[in-house]
Amino acid sequence: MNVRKKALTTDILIVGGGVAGCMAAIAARDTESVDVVVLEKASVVRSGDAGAGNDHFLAHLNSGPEWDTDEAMAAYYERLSQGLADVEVAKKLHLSRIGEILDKLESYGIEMKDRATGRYIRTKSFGQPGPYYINFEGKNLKPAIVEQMKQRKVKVINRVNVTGLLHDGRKVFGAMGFNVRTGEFYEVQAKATILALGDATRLWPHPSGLPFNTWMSPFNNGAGYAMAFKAGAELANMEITAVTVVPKGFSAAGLNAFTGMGCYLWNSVGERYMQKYHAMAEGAPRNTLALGTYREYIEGRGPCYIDCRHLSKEALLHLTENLLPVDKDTLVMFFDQKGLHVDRDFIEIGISEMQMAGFTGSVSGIVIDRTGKTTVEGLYAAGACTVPSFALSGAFATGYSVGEETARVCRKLPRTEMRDEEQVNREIERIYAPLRRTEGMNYKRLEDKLRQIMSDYVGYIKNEQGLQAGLKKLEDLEHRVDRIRAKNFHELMRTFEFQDLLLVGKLIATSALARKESRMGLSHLRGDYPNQSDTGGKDSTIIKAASRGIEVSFRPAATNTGRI
Amino acid sequence: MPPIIDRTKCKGCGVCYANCPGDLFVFNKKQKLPELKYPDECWHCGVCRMDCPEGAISIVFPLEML
Repeated sequence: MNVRKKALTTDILIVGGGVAGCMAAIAARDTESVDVVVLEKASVVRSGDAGAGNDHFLAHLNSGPEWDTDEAMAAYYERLSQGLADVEVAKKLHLSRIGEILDKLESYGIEMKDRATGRYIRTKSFGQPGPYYINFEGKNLKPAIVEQMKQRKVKVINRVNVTGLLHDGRKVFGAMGFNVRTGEFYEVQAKATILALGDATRLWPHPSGLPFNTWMSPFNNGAGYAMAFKAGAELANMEITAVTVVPKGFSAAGLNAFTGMGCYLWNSVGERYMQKYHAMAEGAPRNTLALGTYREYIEGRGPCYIDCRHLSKEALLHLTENLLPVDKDTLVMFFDQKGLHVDRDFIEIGISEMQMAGFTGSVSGIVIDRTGKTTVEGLYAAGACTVPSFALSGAFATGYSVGEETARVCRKLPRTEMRDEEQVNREIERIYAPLRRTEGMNYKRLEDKLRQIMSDYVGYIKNEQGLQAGLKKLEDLEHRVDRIRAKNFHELMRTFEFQDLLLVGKLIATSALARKESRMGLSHLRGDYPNQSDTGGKDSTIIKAASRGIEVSFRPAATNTGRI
Repeated sequence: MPPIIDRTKCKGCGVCYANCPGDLFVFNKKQKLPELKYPDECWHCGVCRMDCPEGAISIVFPLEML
């Protein structure tokens, strides 16, 4: 087949146009006169975890009370991340900038305050010392920041699936990919490349049997982790996965809305069971809510339910009109179609599928320093794919901070064109091969197999022998990748998503094998080391590519990012 | 399977095709109408529904989820 090619050169290339990527682009243009290109697999208007909206923004406001200070927020961060993320990186890129980012969002036309009172509505959940979640009308936050990119003349190219980074063994100098609708090949060279990619979902099965029924976006396929790893960058704590509590049947966001409004969780024997697991009961951190609910189920006290019946009329109205439909546009419709009434029915809940996600308290992902730089020259990262990601607020702030830092570095660098025809041709060959095959399996068969392996051996409870067996099966699956056939560019996109997922699955299993303890509730539960050691060691697992596979080591988070 | 396009309301503007984060729609150039091609890959995010200027899209959850 004849491949149409497009080659571009720019100062900063941003891979991924979710919140972090868009904010990095805006910041770069605000800081220096640099050229910025954003490559996005979907359309920046509605892509990423926040594409359809979000209703909670983690913020402290320094309004007076002790819990509302920089120090208290940093202490909350340290408590949640258990020393597995460098709080100095978080302070520099995220926590110290929250106030400023809030002002920016308001100046972009996103209503952060309640229209009626002109004040912030703030609620408390997930182990917070005070109400850190600003409730806001964020249905259109993506269109609003995309408008800001337009005003700053950022070049956005939608529907390009980036498959690999350009690198010369020492530094990264851009990326390659293809348009998922036209098939056109893209090569973009840049002085600096920012990975602003999302989580890794679709790695574990969902009880409904629908693999795209995921908590975070199912179109986030761990490409950031995979590409950073292949370029030689370090990743930390990949075994610490994300599990949450969701309405039975629908992996929808919204748990913070329920618990933030003071809803109760009941088991089938009439206990408010979270009181057994945490002093803050339903106000416990997410991973403890997941572990508590999981235990109720496996010990035979399920089904479990959310109960909103005791809430005041005003609180119920706020929950059902301002929070739930904004966090997940379709959740209230789901309850309607299920015949559930939030004000008077128990709402059955379940444990979500597992995933890698950059939620509040996440400690896994690409290691970055206080400038957003990875351990590889020319490669930066921001948002959900990084260690200090911390959900929406983190995506906004780290995106903006890393965009600024990168722009400052790029201003001083000359633009040099590197020609590496061989690398480009190799990638073209790799990308279009599945389309040329006249026989072979569809990606779906292999992705289903991947989920089966992850569930059987790298699931909610893991142990040494199981993880080793799982790793062997994942390696066997790798040998089948060369036989996948894609019939169109959409299937080709899914084929490359699957390949990244497979690599990320291997990284998770390898890392989980190394961490011989249980940590952070259901995030990393080892059957052979069952006692929770949340106050235990401060070492992060660090993995990177080695000449013979994957190298694993342990290091304190602070050492890793150059603090000590 | 979600989403369902009401053909009596759809005017073929293609905003669902443009904005769907999963690339689940195709645009039928002959009929000048969007079509849902990959219903199994839906996240149920509601972007197509909320961005449709004609209110032509509704989300109908599959039986497995109810």
